[in-house]
Amino acid sequence: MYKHSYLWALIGILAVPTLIMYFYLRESIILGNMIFILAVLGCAGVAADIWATKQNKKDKTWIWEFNTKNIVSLKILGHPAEEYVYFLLFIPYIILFWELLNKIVPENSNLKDMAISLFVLLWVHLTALYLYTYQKHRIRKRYTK
Amino acid sequence: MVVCVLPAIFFASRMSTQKLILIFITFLFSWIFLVVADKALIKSRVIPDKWAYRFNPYAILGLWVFGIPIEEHVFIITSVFLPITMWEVIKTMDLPMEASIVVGALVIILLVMISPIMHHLDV
Repeated sequence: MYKHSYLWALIGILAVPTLIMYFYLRESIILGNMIFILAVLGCAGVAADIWATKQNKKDKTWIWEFNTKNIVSLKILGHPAEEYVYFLLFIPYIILFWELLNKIVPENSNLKDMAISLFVLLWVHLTALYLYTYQKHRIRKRYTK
Repeated sequence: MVVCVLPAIFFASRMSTQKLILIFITFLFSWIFLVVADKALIKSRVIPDKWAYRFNPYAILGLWVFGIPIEEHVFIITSVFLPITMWEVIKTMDLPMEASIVVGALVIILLVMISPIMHHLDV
């Protein structure tokens, strides 16, 4: 893992699809509504994050902490910059994906069948992924002992 | 629970079944890549030194699903539900850009004001 791994993961997983979806859907998106949601939910999320993150060694109440070796050094209000990037990208990503899905799926279509098929498909893939990672970890553990 | 789950339930109760199924599909797509990304970034027993963030074992339930804590799954579920349900509810309002910027600025000021308190809040 490198210093910018978290940031690059965010850019790769969220920024690229968000930009593509925005350029495709920009005419149907009301920017005022988007900014409103981003401000309200983003700030609520960041406030909860600040409370939950370990700030220093004296901080007794924390739910998670960031590895200073593997994140960008920039901190805003004592919180890593990556977390702000996460909220800035994830909220628009979800809304744009939702709008895209509404555009693709016609009204009054049989959504129940589609949801069940998707669930089964994902269940099979996730189980395979879980078994694959578990097996990989087990083998690695055996040879690193 | 307070930040994500309760508001999500409130907004979801105002939506139709068809919309809720579509949200479920959105959730499935988002959940899978977030779980994979989380797995790569969270501290695990296998690669103890390569991690971006780790959880306090005394502050979580200790139930790990797909290599990440159950709390993180709850967070992912609600962070998908909340923006969509809120978006659908305020869609009809057609908020002007100026009003949104003012609200955004006020919320950011509020965040800056409360952040020192949040740092020291011992709950």
